[in-house]
Amino acid sequence: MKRTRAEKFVRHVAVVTACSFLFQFAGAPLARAYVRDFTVPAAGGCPLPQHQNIAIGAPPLARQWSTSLPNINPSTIATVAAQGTSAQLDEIEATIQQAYAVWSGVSGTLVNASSFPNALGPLARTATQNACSPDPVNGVQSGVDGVNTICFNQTSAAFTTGVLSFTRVIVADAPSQIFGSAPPSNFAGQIIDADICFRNDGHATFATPGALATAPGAYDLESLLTHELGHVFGLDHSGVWRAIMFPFAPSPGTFFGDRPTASAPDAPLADDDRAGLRSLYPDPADTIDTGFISGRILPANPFALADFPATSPGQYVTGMFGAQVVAVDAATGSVVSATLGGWTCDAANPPPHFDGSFTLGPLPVGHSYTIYAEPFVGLVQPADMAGAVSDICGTGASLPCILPAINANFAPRLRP
Amino acid sequence: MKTLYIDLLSVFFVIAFALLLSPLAESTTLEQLSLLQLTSAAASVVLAKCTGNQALWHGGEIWTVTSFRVLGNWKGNSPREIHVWMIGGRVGPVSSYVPGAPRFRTGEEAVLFLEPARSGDLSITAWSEGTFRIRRDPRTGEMLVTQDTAITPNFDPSARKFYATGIRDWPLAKLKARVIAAENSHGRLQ
Repeated sequence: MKRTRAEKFVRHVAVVTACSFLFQFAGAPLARAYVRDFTVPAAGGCPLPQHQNIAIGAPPLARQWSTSLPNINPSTIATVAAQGTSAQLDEIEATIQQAYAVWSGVSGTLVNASSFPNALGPLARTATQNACSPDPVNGVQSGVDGVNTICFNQTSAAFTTGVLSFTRVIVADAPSQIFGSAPPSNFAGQIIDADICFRNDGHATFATPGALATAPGAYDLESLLTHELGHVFGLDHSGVWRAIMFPFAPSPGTFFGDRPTASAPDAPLADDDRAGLRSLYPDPADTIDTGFISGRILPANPFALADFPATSPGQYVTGMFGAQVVAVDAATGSVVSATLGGWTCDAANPPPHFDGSFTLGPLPVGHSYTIYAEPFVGLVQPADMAGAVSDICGTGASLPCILPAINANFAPRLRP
Repeated sequence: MKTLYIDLLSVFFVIAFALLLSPLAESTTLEQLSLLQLTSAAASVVLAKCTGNQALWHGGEIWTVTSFRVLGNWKGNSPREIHVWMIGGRVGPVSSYVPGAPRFRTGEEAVLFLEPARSGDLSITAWSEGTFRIRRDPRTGEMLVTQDTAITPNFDPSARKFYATGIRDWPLAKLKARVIAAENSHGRLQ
């Protein structure tokens, strides 16, 4: 089969411009995987991106935070307001609201506060200390209540040295599933409950933006909250430096990106973060962020794939699996999107086909982009990469698919 | 027209080495710890082989308990069989996913920095930072280790380059020597 010019460029892992690629639009069946996690429906079919039930007509996202704070002196959360006062709780709550507002400030999404002011429910308070892992419901130990909760004083055995905070995401693999006291799921891949826990033993301190400069050694609470809320919305870690979903944040005493402003509420985010949110919750009325860049990553030597076993009956590995692909705006130099390439899935004919496909977007139309690609290091297996690829085939027998090994058998090159 | 190619791998290793020397970067979920800090914080450091996983509900959370056969003790004196608890996993139809929590496949070998969690059960120090996966170099057969946090190549938009952080493709013997040296160094400081 004759390859397109675009495929040849990508095959050499070179810098190419978007005009060499096929532009596709929303609804294309190709994988756009990198910043999202997937769930294979229990009934079988293609992997579906995990996301909250945020849609037109859906109930507002339930959210709360626990006002229980660690009883440690000095406090684990530094604020301008005096410790133990209602003003301190107000200041912490304002920081939480601001972190949420960063994500709801992204245009072109169903989360956007201007276009969809009721997408997020009111931020409630609870005095329950362990609200992120409630007691058994109806005699069933579930820990799932359907309310996305932030806890600063959760008693969790998960913390070990070096762990500052984490987000626990509960996902359904079918509609009408009931977990704990949460409402039934509406679709496979729905995030039923996502809770954020901060370390509470005094080994780490956090500070609101107003207190950060005068709290030595404290981590910026707003930056950490914004990152963890990205997980709540369904985003995984990004490989783009300076993206809020990049797993490494600034040192204590500093914050990530720019502080949000009234005119730029999503200022802390990188375009990669915005593209990830738009891919999960696209606003159907958005006419700007509707472009996609698609291509395939192929080995220079096609025989390099000969040793890979079939991933499903009659389906062989025909492209590189497990490469990070990045789009850079040619005019501004800004990274606008990154993805984990390597597979595609036709909803009418699952399971996934590992053909080296990637799709970047949604991207603003009318721009030129430069594409970079890079393999994961050769030792990596799908299970090592958490949700980014581990759930592409699912765990049940409904989908006869075996993940191929990550293929890093190509050398990165930069063509000036 | 003749095209000039620049190999990025050397850049990765140079920057990765530079970052290894820097204790400044932090994570939203993890403090970035040096090898010395990891070794000091861990109660034990083992070379181990995964023998199985079991996910279960406990204390309102799903946990994955991974069993390992200890192949070597680098710090401490762990028993031949150990069970490591990590938050998250899948029980029945419920999937609990925690970004940053490492998972293991049966048969996989790894170097693990371990400490008792608050519950007293064994867990991994700094999660993915305290997890080093092992592979064999297909050409030489040498055992190489890579830190979980070093798996993903990161893209720096300003430099327009990929780079890796953490320990990547070190010979197993080198990591062992560094861990033992770190432990001895820490012991002397005490």
